[in-house]
Amino acid sequence: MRIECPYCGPRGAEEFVYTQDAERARPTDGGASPTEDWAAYVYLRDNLPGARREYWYHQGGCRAWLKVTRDVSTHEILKVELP
Amino acid sequence: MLEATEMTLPASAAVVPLAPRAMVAVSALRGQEAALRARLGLPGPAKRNELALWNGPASWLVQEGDAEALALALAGQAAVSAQGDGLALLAVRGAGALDILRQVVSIDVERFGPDDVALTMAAHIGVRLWREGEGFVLACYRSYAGALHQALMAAERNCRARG
Amino acid sequence: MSGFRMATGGLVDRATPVRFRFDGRAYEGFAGDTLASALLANGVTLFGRSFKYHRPRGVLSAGAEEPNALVDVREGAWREPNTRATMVEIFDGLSARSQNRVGGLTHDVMAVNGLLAPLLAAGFYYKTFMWPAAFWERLYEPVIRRAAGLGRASGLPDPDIYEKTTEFCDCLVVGAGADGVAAANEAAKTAPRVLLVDEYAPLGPAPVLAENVKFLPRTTVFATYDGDYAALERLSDHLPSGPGPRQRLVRIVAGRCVLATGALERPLLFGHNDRPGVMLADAVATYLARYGVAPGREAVVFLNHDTPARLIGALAAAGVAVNAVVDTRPGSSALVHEAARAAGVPVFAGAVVTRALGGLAVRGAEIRQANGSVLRIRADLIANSGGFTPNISLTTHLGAKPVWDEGIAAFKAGALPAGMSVVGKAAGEGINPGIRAHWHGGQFAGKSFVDFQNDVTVKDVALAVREGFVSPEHVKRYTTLGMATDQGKTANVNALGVLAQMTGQEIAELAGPRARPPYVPVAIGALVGAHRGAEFRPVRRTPTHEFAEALGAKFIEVGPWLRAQYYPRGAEDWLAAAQREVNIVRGKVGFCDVTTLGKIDIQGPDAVVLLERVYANGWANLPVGRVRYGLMLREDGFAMDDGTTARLSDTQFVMTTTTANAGRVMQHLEFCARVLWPELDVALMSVTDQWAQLSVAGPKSLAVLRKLADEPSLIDDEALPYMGCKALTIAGGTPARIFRISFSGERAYEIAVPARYGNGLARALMAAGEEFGIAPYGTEALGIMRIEKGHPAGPEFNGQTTAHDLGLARLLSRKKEFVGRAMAARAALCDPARPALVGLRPVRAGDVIRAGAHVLPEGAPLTVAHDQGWVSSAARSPSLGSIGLAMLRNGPARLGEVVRVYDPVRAGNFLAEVVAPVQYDPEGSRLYA
Repeated sequence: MRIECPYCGPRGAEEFVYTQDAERARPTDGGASPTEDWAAYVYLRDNLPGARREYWYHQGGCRAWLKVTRDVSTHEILKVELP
Repeated sequence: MLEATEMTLPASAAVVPLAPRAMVAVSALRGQEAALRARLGLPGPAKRNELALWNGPASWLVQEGDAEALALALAGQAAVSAQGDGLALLAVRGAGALDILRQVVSIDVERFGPDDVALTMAAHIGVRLWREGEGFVLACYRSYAGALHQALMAAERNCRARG
Repeated sequence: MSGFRMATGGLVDRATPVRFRFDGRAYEGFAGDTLASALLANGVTLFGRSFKYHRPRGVLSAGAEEPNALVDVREGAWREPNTRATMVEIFDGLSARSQNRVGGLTHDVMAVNGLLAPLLAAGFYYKTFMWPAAFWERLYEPVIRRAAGLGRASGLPDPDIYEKTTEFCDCLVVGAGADGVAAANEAAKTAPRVLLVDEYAPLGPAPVLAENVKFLPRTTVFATYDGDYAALERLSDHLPSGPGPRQRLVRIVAGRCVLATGALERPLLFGHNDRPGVMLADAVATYLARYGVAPGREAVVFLNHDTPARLIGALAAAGVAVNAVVDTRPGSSALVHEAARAAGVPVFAGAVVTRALGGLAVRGAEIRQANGSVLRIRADLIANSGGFTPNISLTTHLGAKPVWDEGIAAFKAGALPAGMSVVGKAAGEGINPGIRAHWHGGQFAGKSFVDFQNDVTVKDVALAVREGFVSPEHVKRYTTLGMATDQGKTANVNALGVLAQMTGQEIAELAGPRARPPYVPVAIGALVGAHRGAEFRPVRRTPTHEFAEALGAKFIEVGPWLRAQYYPRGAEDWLAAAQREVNIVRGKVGFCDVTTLGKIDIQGPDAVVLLERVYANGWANLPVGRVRYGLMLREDGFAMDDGTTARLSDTQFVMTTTTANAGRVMQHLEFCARVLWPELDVALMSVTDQWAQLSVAGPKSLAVLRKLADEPSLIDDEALPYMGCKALTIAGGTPARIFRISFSGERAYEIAVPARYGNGLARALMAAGEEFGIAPYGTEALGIMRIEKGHPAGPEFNGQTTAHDLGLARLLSRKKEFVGRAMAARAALCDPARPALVGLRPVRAGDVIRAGAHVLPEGAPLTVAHDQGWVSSAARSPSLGSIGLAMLRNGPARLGEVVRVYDPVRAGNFLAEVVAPVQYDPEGSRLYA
């Protein structure tokens, strides 16, 4: 599978590593106490088919962080952009 | 001065360890990338020129530089860090260079242009790869030099065995 | 004697004889022969014994789909079992052997399995060998293991070299038959790089190809992956074993792919259809045309479509008597009648072969005519064809099901992977003219084999259906049909046809066979390439490696790094060396290479903001020239890593991480700086390899360093207090950074120089410290000392511990936000009843604490219910004896209590006292010694 890094061009998928879901935003309240929002951010995911946004890291290449839109049912990569 | 350890890896017909260069890592601070590029004449993503190699988002490796002088000159515009000791350089030359490289990297080396730079993996080792002279140069972190050299030599042996 | 070499014909090089051996006998063939063709030419019919029933087997096909003729080739460590004889190119000196027999091939003792056949039917292992239970391990399993399998591996390491490479092309064409060559040349008109790949050896005139077509023969594309293809190129399998690479794994990156893989023939089913001499019709045609070999002298041709008709004339021309043509189709066809008439052969229309006659080889065919009468025809060759199936395994590797085409009675490719197209016979063009699908005409005397390699019969499929396994997936798994090394290439479609017939369904309704990579067996060595043994993964060496090696250090792998573990003198073992090194450090001075710990240069106006946000403790008030210990949490509140960070200027810091987490922390920092808080003005650069860093520790450490520093006053206590840092030059101008931090608990300094000076610094320290009795120390001594000082390290930072657990709760800032802050505050993570860090000392001298032991209350039963913690680190201290660090429930509140250290795996069971983690110099006064 090839993934198109915005900097390096198309590369083998083995150069990249999926790190986490990008659908949920990190709470901005400073984290003074463990709220439902924080627990949801750390532990909960909506496990839905179709296109999902994810953070990938070009670990074996230029080390860019990438926001990848991927169809989790077909593995097709729909979009690769900088976060 | 303390005695310096020279690269003791043996050279072969196709795989030649190069003398270290006074490489300097330059990383643009926020919003300074375009200005820095214009000021110094730095190359775009995945490209290189006489002065420097692209080294990641908003980052470059100046091939020969004075880290202290650059740090002073670029204060406020870029973060500067010497890398001359941190990177080892291995050249791959000759008619079999493409064949050797194809065994260790998974990028299209045949289509590699004279001013391209690739940050990729060679035999599971992170490298920066570019064309230089009649062949290519691979730069890896110093600690990996022996392992990368070994992989390239094995690839060269395979080429020779096939004739 | 059955097969023979034709006087003329074939593409083999009759001017180049080749000598080889099979089962100890010498034979001769020609260059270009396969082992199968050469043995057939020599009249050999028996090639091996089948998997379960040990039935005599010959060659069924002429190609990669061969299920029967599996042989063992080469000698010694190069010996490879289960090799298809149809794919072995003979060379001078080749030695091959038949498999799966006890005693000779002709008189295989294990053929008795045939008599046990009723007990060995499909699914027998679910129903037999169950009772008595005790007999399984003692009797049944060993016997079954000995009897099971086909070939035997050599048991020796693979001595061959395997290459790997990547080929980029705009168009990949798989298959260099007429369709493939045409497709390649067509593609070459517009595509700059075309790669044409063919599974077989080039024989006969080379194809005429455009200049920009690269041709790889002897290369099998064995996998379709998401966007990539994998192929195996056989570089020297057709040559005697030698030093060069044997095979090459080719990763193919193609803009698009054209499959011109042709079609595979399937046999017709009848009784004893596995006898040597029963062969696929197209294979017979191939042996005649390609190898100049007639596989028999008297043939019966059995067919249900028009294509095999041309074989009739070809056999006759080769001097083979065709005694009958049997056509399942009522009335046969004009083409068949024409071909038969021209050769003077009788046609039996609307008839079937009911069974092959003969034991070790075919003697004849029993035929049931349309009117029901039965007759026997003499033959030593039954060339049969049930039709062709497009060879489209590669289109199914991503899960797409093939679709049934009623017109050609075959499965064609369903949905295609992106960029792939199918042409020619692989697309079903021009195959099976006039076909009438014929699966199984009813009960026959004698086994009708569907899957030859796994010995699965029509009766087995019927049994599966009777027991309720009616879906193709269930039938496959219950009978093992299609699960052999040939992936059922000659079996799957027949199985579906038979199943459809038995269950009254249309074959089109049944899911078409899907295959998984690899299309053919691939040696593990080819997948591994050069990454085996010591080269399994790249090794990283420290800047003092040569120095340590010269002193005879023993090395240990720490992740990818080789670190000096201890420096033995004389006959010292590891413990004696490590304890001596500890004594030297604590009594005099020693030094250790700590380059492997990650070093990250952090610069920018917002560098301090980033530190504040990634570390739990505070950084804003750290003055320039000072170092601070930092604790990093994961977002879920658990401890991730620790290290020391030094402030070199207002806007520049150097962070250290543990060796194991260097990459992970760098990735985390980059995530924070680029994704979470891209507004921060900060740059990160790894400098782990740029600086050689040595820890110099012990009461004489300052004295030694003063001798090296160009300006010694820069590192005196007033100028460089504990937790201070400084840039300076040493040894006449060498740039250095010095950090006064201590992992050992002694007065200590870490000194960093550009990496090229690593060995030089080590030697300079040895020289400067000689008068003080300096010695280098390794990771063992390092570990003993940090455990004596109660420092949590890797075993305590195991991803399941919190700041509270490790006694570091005071580092959790209450004033700022940081990664992990919110979740670390969860009550459950702060619960004192959680296992928390304590020290342990055996009550009785002589007992040895080991990491991994359990900690239980003194008088409690030794059960899981009473398990209260575990020993995370243990050391044999030269001054304190055996000590440990443990994670114990409510630990810090139980100092002085006596607990039980229980280690059932290593037979340890003794009492120990719970003590504070810092067991050596608890006041920390030695830092200033």
